[in-house]
Amino acid sequence: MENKNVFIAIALSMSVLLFWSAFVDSPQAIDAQNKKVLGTQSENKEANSSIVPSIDGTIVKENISREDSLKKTNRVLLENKKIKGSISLVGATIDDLSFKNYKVNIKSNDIVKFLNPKETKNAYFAETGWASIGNKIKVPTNKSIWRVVGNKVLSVNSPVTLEWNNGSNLVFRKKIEIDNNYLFKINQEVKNNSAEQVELYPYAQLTRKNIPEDLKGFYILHEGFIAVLDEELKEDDYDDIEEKKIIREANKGWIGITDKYWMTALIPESGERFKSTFLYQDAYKANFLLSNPKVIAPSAKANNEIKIFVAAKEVQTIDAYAEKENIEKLDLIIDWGWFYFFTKPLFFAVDYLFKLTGNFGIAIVLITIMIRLIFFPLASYSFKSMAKMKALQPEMARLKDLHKDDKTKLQQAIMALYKKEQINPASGCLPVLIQIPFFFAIYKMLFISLEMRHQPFFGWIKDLSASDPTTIFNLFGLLPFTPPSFLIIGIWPILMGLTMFIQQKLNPAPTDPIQAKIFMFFPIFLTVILASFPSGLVVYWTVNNILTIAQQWFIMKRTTVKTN
Amino acid sequence: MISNFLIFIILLLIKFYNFFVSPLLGVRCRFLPTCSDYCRISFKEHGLIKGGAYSLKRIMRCHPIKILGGSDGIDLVPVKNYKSKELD
Repeated sequence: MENKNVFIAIALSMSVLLFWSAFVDSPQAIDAQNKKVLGTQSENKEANSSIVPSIDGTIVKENISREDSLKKTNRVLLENKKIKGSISLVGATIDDLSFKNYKVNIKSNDIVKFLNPKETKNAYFAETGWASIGNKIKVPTNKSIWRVVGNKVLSVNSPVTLEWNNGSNLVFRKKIEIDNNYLFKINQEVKNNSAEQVELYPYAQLTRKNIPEDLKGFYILHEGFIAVLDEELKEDDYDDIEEKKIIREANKGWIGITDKYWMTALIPESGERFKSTFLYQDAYKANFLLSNPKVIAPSAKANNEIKIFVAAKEVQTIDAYAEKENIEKLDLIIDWGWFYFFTKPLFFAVDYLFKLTGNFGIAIVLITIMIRLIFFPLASYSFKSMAKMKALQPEMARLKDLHKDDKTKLQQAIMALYKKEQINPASGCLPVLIQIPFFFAIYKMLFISLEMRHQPFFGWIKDLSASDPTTIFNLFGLLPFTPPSFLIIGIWPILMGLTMFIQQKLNPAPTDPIQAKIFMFFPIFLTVILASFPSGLVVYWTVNNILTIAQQWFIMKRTTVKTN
Repeated sequence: MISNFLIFIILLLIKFYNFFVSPLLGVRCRFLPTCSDYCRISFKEHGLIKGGAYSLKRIMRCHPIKILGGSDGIDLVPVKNYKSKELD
């Protein structure tokens, strides 16, 4: 009886765990909205700005459309083969950037607009600058109006230089370059024309007004603040930062904000110690500030280089950057998880099959089959003893009869028989346990894969990264109405449930009646849960079930043939 | 204290495995007591570290490939202080 209660408790807690993330609105999102209302009352004040250099970071509360906002200020246009956008001359911020190769959704032709100007609803921008102790020195702010020197359009191999004069003998310059992919290199320069020595601290900051609308809030994927500081990966959720700001110091590394598919990252000049801060102050902010100032003597200059990534998380591109620009562990911005050593090679295998076959869904099916084939010898290793088993049937029946009231005695007697006959029909648990990391790795890899985004499979699956759009509740589109989203249970999830049901039927039902009942609902339960998952995952799960059934059928058939 | 808590979590996971996973796999035990019983007893008897080591050693032997250390049959958890321990 006690046992039963434990089972029920486990079943209930599991369903809470699973259902929570699948159906309940991410608590993060609600919290963020509440905080925002409160946040508007507190003003931007660094308590100890007289001893610590402070970063200018007032956020504008206006809310105008992206188009109007872009028209309001003068801009330097930028474009390469992957990104396009512009840099605002007010504050010299990178605040307008789109990914040319990624559409918002499969039906539209609009490309993904990632960075947005500060007056818009989903403001998200990157800025660089200089801070001073006590704000005694007039440094450029996000309201300063910069002047373009020379080249007026930013493209590959044609940098743009911006200039701002503080009116008291300091001239600030920024030379901005872009490469073929997603990297901005910003060289900041200060020229001191005054008669006094000046000390300035370079910084860079990311500001984001809202958490992304498509935040998954799902525990197998980290979305939010991220940093690698002195080789150590740090991950902080949006709601952690709302509660308290986190300051860390490091000698090398990078900081950023990561989404499921997109990212921004700031990389300080190498060899410089810096302070990284994640905070929420009317908006989410991630910044770094060098710990030691640049000391600029009268009529001298100082320089500082900052790298900014605004990227789609393409595995090869990110890996290439980590290597070429020597940025430590930048590849960890793609959340490969604990099974890193499985997940990443698996990704390359799937990507290879994808390029070979031209269809991501077929690549998933192929990789699933390949993994099953690798483990098949383990599963079928004990065929031979299965045949011998048949010969022992009469002896087994005798033992069963002898010990029919004592299960332990029976098991012991059977084991002794196996020992005497030198056989054992069971394959043991290691062959199964060994496969678990692989299946988890496939699952994780498919969940995070940008490469699967907007990739079609057969028929009605136009996007493997979205859930199956069909539903049994309008007979898969035969009836002219659209049920509410929790009733969208598509063909693939139902196939998954069916295959799982068949797989269960191949094994003896559990003897405990409650357990047996729960097991009956297991396929239905998983069908409902998986209905809202990326269809690529459901395809993988279904194929895997079919292969399990096929394997079991094959083994049984082979065994009977041998005994005849 | 923490180790007791961890053992509690591990025992819970074993229960979870027994209930939800094991029936899906069919009959596959090569040993008596089964691996899950063995792990449960060894964690209770020997604590987190030693119990964990015994459990890992047992699972690593639970396969049919003899040259890779595969084994089977009756295999009891080593006893502590020569006190005999029943199968539970």
